[in-house]
Amino acid sequence: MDVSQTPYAIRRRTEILALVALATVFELVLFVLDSTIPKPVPWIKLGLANIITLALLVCGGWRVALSVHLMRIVIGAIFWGGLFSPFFLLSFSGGIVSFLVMAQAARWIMPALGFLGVSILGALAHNFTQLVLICAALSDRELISFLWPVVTLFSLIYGCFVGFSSFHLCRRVPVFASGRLVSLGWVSNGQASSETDSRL
Amino acid sequence: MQRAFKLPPLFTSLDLLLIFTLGALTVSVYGYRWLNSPPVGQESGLQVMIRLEDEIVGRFALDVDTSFTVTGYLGSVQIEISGGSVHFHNAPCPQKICEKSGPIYSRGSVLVCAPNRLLARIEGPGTSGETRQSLDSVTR
Repeated sequence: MDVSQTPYAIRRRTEILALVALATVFELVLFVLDSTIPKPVPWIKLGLANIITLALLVCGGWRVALSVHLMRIVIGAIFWGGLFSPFFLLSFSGGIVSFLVMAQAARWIMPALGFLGVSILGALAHNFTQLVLICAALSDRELISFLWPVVTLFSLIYGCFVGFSSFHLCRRVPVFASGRLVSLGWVSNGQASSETDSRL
Repeated sequence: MQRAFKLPPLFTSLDLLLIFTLGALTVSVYGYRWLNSPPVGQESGLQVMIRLEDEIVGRFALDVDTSFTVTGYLGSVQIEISGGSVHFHNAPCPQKICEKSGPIYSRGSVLVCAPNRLLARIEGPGTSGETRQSLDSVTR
């Protein structure tokens, strides 16, 4: 019998599909909310959608997290920001770099570094990527040296908030906390996925 | 309930180290800037430099109230200098971040309209040439 057609495999695929779809929707809602709340520094967003990205990275593996993250950026750009405008390039680059940083941090450094740290690293990566790209587009060198403290400060603050929320999301929402998702991709804290398979 | 999955902690000492070093760095830079900045309004000869991508299109004295329009890649935006501060008005960009960045008044601060590739920065006196009360070229 073809392994991919076992009831277990089918159920797992369906589970992943439903999870990715729901997570994308929640991220989109958070993304829109993010854009509407007033902020002291207008161009640095709170990054609320990364709450779910981080939770998925830690509890579910990088494949699921990457799918959700990319889909959120693209769909968010289609409906709320120009899909082919310079803004999209900016936020897309920021999103990619921040995901890479968070994924690597979650994989290699994670138990030694908590949710706050990974989230702060992601926020720093995202905001500095955007800053660097804007400075490159404007051919301006002094802008970075003037603006980096603001960017660092707000990345710290927002990153703490997002990390805190993500931690509590993982703790209280059963689909993350139960560890059922752990075998979806590589596991962030080095536990073998065969441990959870037996519970199914 | 038997759990095979252990959630990583909220923060660890490494986290706190990261937060503390970055926070201390930021605060020290701000402190240095605050200590070294002259009181607002007492530094004379500040000019506003308007730049469109690569070329400087105008320089204005900060203490002379004026208002003009600069056209960038996306459209034209009104720049107003009044009461020792600069702000953008009627910007053509969708997010209007440049408008929301509010009036700037201290040396080194910038207003950026990114899709327009437009930058307005307050610079010190004598940075290059004399201040002019006109635009060199309103381009594009």
